[in-house]
Amino acid sequence: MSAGWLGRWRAPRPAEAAPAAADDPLQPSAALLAALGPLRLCPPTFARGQSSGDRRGRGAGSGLEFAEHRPYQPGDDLRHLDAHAFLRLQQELVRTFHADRDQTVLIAADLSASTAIGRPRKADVIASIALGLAGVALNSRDSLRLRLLCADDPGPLAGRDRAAMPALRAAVESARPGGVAQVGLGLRGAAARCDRAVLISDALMEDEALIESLEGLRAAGARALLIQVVAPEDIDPASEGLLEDGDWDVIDVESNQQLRLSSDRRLRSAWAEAAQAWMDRVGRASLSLGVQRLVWSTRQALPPLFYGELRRIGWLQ
Amino acid sequence: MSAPIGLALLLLAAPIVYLWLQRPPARALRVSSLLLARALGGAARSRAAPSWLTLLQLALVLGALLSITAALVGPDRGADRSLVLLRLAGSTGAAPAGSAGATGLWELRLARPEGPGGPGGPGGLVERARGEPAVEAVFGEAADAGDAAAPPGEGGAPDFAADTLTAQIAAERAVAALAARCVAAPDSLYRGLDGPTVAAVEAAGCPTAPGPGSIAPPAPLQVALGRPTGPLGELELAVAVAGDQAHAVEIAGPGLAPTTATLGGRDEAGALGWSMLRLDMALDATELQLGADGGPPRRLRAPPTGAIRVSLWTAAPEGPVARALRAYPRVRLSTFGPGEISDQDADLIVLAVAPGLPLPPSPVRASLGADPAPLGGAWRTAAPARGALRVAERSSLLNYTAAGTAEGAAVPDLRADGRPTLVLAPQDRALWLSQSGPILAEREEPGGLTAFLTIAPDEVSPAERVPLLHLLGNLVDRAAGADQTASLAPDAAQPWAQAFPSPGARPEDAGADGPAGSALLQGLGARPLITLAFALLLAQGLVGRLAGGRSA
Repeated sequence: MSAGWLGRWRAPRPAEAAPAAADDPLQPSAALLAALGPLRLCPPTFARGQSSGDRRGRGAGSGLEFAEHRPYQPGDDLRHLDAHAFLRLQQELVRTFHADRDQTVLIAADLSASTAIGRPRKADVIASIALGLAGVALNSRDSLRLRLLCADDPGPLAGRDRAAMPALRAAVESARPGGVAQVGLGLRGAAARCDRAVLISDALMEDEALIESLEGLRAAGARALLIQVVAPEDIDPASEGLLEDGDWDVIDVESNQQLRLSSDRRLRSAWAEAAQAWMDRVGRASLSLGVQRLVWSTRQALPPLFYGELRRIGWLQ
Repeated sequence: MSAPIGLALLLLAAPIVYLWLQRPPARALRVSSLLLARALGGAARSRAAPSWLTLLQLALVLGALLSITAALVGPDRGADRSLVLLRLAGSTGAAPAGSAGATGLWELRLARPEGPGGPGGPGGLVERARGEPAVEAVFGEAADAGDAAAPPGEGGAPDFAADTLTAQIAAERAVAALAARCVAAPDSLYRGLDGPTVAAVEAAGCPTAPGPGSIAPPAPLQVALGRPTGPLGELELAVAVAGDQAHAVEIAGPGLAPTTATLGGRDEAGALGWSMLRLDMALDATELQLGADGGPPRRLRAPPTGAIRVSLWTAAPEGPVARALRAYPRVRLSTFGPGEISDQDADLIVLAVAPGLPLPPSPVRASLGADPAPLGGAWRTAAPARGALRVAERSSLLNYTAAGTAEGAAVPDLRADGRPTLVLAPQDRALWLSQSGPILAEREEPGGLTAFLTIAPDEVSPAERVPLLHLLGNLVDRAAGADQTASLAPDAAQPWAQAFPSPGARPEDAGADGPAGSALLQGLGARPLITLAFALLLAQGLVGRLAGGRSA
């Protein structure tokens, strides 16, 4: 027999879990940025950047990296005529070089209202990861595009070297989590396809929106990566002292929709099962769409993500 | 349980309401998405607990509290509650001999009355407790030796010690059943054709107020069981008291010497304690005052006792036969001389000498030494229609002969050695039972009348007076019974006034499909209330379990 409202009576009533202030500015980890100096983005096979850079492009160009010899044709630059090959082979061959392009990296940070949950907030973790990746990209002199998908979207942010970092950081730190996640729409708004596209999100979205987001991510970058930041408060509220026995008004921070639940052990168990099913669903969708996926908890330290997981999957070196 | 305790129980409602008012509101949980909450499926669906549901829960809890209070504040149903059962016996020494065998037990079963035309109709059970063998009272019949007392006025008190009353009643259920009957017919007498009757006290004295679950303490329950007043008009009371306490029961009535007895306290288990009370004989004692423990008396209506018209043809109007008949208070005796003719109807005709013909109509006729020819008809051995009557005769001055010998024998031939001769017959064909065996003395006429033949008494032998008195008592009783047969038919307007079963009938014989136990619940009152309380608590729990999961 259920205890009913009599059984749910507790004295004194436990303090309600203090929700994170959704409108607090983002607080990316400053220490993390300082610790990521040695890291570089792994070079792509062929950089897709439009500007010259340090990465080997797909076509021939004026880069420093030798590509091949080809017969001299009138009009070729005589400075590229290979004298050693002429002496040896009695043929006029000119040396061609790869074009040096910059690697374009898109970093999309999902800073919707749902990321204001957790201690620390998912939004802070996402911002730290985004800034960390941005710093690595800028250290690599790659062309960086940063999108902060939040209510007060500052628009596309870009940078090519470390000089852009303070501006990016200021933009991130001034942003606040909020709004409804429209990751797919944000990713489609990006410019040409990049060499690498990273989406940092909690991926707590309906299946349709998830697929749309992953497809947009896959379309935005030759290599796509989803870093799924999860908060224990989402996965297992009971472990955080939430969802104890009793009535709970579960409120969606994005839509403000409300659901009243009467919590008990059975419901908490069902919640954990639903969370696991959701994680599996995200994993299967990422795999099917060719998107690499990393799951990181807000309670985990961030350096292992950069020095460990991102290097393991061939994104950083 | 007293009212203050009930009030204290009711006061529990205050903290319950306070707790309900102070119940914690639903706590808020801000989540990233309702995606997981919605994915809970059945675990979360229908879990919404709207405010009206919590209000319903409160109402259910308060209802349960109210039920418990009502159940507990009701009358005590414990071992100290009393049940007084009165048995109004028939004539001394005359009692229905059922198929219970030599012990001749009466059986009375108590349960819910059946509707008219139901299995409890005439000849069936007045009340039936199917599947409730514990609800059964077994009355011991007056033993032969015990009832073979001297007639009133001739010394010798009836030996009631042998008239023990055994009880197999589960006290609680019997009280409930009888209380239910009392509610149904608060001032009615339950009349039976053969067996004991149940008489309930009047409404004012009814131990149970109308309505279930309201047995009013502290007066002991007074419900009478018995059979119609016998031809002597005397009352023989069997009083049973339930519980461990002893109760002083006072019985009084018009023309009845007040009688007091202390009953109960004999059964440590709290079951019924039984005692027998003897009351002085009283003519037409139709009302009794029955009190207990000094409390106000309650009226008990005994069955009406009418006169029994007896016509006696005798040469000695003041002889022993006439005197013996006059000893019975209900007898209105008319004497006629030899050859005299009478057109006066009679309930009993006794021929001590040859009458003038024709005889007036009478249901019972007997010849005492006279020529039975005027009675007409042919002798035969037939099972008594109303069951055998017992007579206790302790005389060794009688002769006995077999039934075959008596067939066709002349009356003088039955007086061998100057002593009366009784005809022995099989048990199931006997009208009288003597210490030496059953006595055959019945025949049936085309008109359905029953006649009796016995011997002429020796008017000078005092030793024969005692059996003579009992023989005449049996005849009077038979005459009174014949009258009752016509007058005590079940009243269609009172479906509860139905006959008890023939002695020895078992509850399963009637094959009732009645709602067994409902009367018990009605009588107990507290039991359904407790059940209701538990049901309300269960419902409260179910509401709490089913609530939730709906969007606010």
